[in-house]
Amino acid sequence: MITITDVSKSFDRGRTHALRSVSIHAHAGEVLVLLGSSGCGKTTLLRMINRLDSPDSGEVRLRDRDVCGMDPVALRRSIGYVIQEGGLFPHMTVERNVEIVPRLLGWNRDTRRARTHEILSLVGLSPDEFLPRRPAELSGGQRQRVGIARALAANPMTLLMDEPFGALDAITRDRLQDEILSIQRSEPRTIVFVTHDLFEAVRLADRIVVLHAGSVEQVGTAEQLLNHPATPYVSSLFERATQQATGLLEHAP
Amino acid sequence: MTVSRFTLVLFACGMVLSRASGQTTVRVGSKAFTEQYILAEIVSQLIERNTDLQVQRRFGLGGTDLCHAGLTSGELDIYIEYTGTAIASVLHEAPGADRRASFRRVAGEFRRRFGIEWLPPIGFNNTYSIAVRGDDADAQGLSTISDLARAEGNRKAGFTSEFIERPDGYPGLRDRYGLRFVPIVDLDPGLMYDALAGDQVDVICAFATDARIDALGLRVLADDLRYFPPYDAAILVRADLLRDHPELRDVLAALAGTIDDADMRRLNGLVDIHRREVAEVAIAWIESGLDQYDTWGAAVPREAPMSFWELAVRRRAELARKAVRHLGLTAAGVLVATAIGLPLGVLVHRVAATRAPVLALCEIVQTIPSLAMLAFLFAIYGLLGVLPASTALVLYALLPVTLNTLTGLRQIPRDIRDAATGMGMTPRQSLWLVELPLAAPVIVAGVRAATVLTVGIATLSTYIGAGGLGDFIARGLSRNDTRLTLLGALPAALMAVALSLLIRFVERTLIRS
Repeated sequence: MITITDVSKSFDRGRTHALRSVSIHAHAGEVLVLLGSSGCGKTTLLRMINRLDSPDSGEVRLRDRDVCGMDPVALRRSIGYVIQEGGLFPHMTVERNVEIVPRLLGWNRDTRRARTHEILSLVGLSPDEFLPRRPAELSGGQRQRVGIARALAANPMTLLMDEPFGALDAITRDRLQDEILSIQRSEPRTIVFVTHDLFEAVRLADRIVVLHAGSVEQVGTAEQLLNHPATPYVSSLFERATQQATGLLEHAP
Repeated sequence: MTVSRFTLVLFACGMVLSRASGQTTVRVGSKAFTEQYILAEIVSQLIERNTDLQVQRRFGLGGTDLCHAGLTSGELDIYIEYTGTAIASVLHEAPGADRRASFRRVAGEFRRRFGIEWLPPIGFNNTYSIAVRGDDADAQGLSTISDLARAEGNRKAGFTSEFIERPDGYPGLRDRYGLRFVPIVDLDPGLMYDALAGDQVDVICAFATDARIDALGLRVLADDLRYFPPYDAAILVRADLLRDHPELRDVLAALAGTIDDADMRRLNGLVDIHRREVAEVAIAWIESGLDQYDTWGAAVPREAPMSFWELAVRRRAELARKAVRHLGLTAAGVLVATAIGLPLGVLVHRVAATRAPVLALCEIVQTIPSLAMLAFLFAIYGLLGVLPASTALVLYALLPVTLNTLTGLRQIPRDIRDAATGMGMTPRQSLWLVELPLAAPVIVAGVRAATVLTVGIATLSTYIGAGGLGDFIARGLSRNDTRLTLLGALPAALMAVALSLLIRFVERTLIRS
């Protein structure tokens, strides 16, 4: 449902490229993970889908329409967007944060109310307890849940998640990954998920796009990448992970 | 847009007021020192007593430039000027030594170039002079500056910095008389007299009509080689006014030649030393001249001088009026500065190319000395009073508001702004729903800083005739009267603190809601 074709982007007038002729495709209802180390261009690629960045050349199509031909505001309102730490507005309550997009879309009060209650329950927070709180009164994990609830509030077909769990501890991250998977099972959406964490990618992805230095190294399921790495970079990615895991086991008491 | 509308409204008010008072009102101005207040008051009272004209008093204006511009633009009708000052500051010529020639020169030029009449001189010559202690003069037999040049012993001089630097000040004096003082110290004009009386220095450059010369037993030495240019005081009137009201000429000409140097020192002394009210001194002089000076003036001590609190209580109505005016000036300045500075801050935040020029401009405005700013704005508006004064306040308050708006917007984390855009907010929605609320505490802090600053600067509005608490401060400073200075300064300080607290309170309430 998202098709990116031959996209290039430079932030310094062509001296270096953040993205170089990148083409990817995300099917409707799949979780597509963009995996790579920092600076590989994965966030830039994601931001092109909701036009926070624009490509120098190439094309981004959403549900078969070129996003560059769409009204950016309407486009963004139709896409859920989650960033690290949730990107919550600190001066608004949880309720106001969650109902932002419905409000921008002009939903009436009762519908908004019902939806905020519903969506907060969906991400595992008690509405009565959390709706009146401010972001500063929440833990990191709770903030992230609210961030996801806010992105889902207007029931978008597409969800963009930019390293949403990067700042969380391992246990909380684990729980939230489960949450995403269970939401995805009950209401499937097209999700593009950016991470630098191989384990997170393997856990969540239907398919993984490995990005390195602005280019796509390989696209495939976790299994395909592990068993048939297309490039030395992809195999080194898995080897390093294996070494780390075995290293940990050897040093364990 | 907002400025021009505001300006227009004020302008319209001014027009209505001046129209209403019509032809029958004469506007009398004065500079901001005692002698000027007294003479302007005498002139005002003479007009009120002897003609059908009404007088509007615009006393305490900040300097020759303002007064002269007031007269040429028709904002003032009358004020008192000195020949030497007019030659140097208005005609920009080198002053001559001859009193009569100087007067003829300024009278002729002013009539021809500005349509301003110089009435015959009042009599005294408020020039620079050289003063020593009376006992020193007696012991050494000093009566002229030449005597001083010949006298024994080394003398220490205390001069104003202006006198030390001006070519027609000490440098020329030294050459003319062959004087030599070691050392020469820079002194504030208000402190010179006490420094001489207290043996801190031995020679000062006194103003010939300063009351402290007599009060402290100082002696002015005669300028026997006629070095100092004359500063004869005379009444200046717009020629138009004299044409429409010829009776004014006779009324005011009655003052010609009536007050000599010693008389002027006594009149100044009644105000500066004996703490009489200016109006009271003017009435007494008009009704009985200085014949009664010894009986009603200095020699007969009245009840002990009022304390600050008694003064404050006695003048409470005036104090309240001036405080309200001060508050109004401050509010107008801050509100308009906020109305301009906030959008300006948003602009420089959003359009990076405008940032450097706009901020540089605000900073330059901030460095313009206040009196220069007032004179400049007067030149633009051609009006005295509230309009140029509040414009100056707006300009000074602009930097803190603009800068804090920019700072407040810049400190919003990038991901918050990205989140707002990514949610599908338009730039305007992002500004109103997210950025401005998050920047609000910093912006309000800027408004608070601007307010405190403005309360302070508004005290200078007195020098352009806009009133406010600065009136008391200027009069207190000119008369060396701490009580009067405090009567303006203390309420101003309290007003600054109160407004700051008020804004902080509003800020907290806003944050809570």
